[in-house]
Amino acid sequence: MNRKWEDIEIGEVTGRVDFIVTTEMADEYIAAVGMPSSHTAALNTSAGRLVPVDMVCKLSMRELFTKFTVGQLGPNLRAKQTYRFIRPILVGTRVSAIGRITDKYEKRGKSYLTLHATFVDESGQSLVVDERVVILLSGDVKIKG
Amino acid sequence: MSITTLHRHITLEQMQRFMGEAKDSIHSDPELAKSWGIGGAVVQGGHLVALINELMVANYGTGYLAGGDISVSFLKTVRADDSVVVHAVPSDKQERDGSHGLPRISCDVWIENSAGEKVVSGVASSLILSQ
Repeated sequence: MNRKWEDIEIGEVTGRVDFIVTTEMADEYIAAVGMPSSHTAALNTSAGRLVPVDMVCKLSMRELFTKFTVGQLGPNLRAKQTYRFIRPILVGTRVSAIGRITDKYEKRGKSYLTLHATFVDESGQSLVVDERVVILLSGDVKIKG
Repeated sequence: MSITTLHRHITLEQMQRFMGEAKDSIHSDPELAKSWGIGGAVVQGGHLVALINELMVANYGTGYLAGGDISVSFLKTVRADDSVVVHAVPSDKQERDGSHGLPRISCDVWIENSAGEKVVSGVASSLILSQ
């Protein structure tokens, strides 16, 4: 941890990703989530093999957000998650995204960051929007569960 | 007729696999989680949302992949070796999606842990590509 809460700026870039989606990524993601074979079958289309809808967000979160938040501010947990799925993603698609802080606020003594990334393909078409709110785990934050 | 529930038991091994190369995480390392003041490894929020998305895709297929959205809050953490039930209950009405010109259906979505406590709650919606 090397940043103070008050020094974090809205609009600040938290990370970047740029990679090509592979069959291996999809297979590993499906296995990790424990999706049944019927789900895999549903992703095989005449246009090619689609990947699970949230896969690129999951595979990117460490580079886009977590390295920054944990490295700069310490441990945190997700409080809210929003996804907007705009276009299905085929194996072989090159995706890129830039993570940014879009809001920061304090509520009932707890500190929250809103993080945003829009994934696009090589032609710049939007694929999926990922917006999440994380709560920083300072000493007085109690975790339910 | 849509499927409204999905049952899944989540083991530490699955959580570690979901985390991939990120071994130094509260989602994969119980000792690290304890050192952070959390009782043990907790299931990553993205892992839980993936289960809701799986259920939405099972119900609405490409309509969700090409025009779905979801917004959820995490109410309580889920620990390793807990069983969860994912719910997606569609509303009675469909609305016309202005940008796609297709029907859109909204669902209340939530996840309960094995104690019956709601741990994730929110809404999701999908385009309906064929009636």
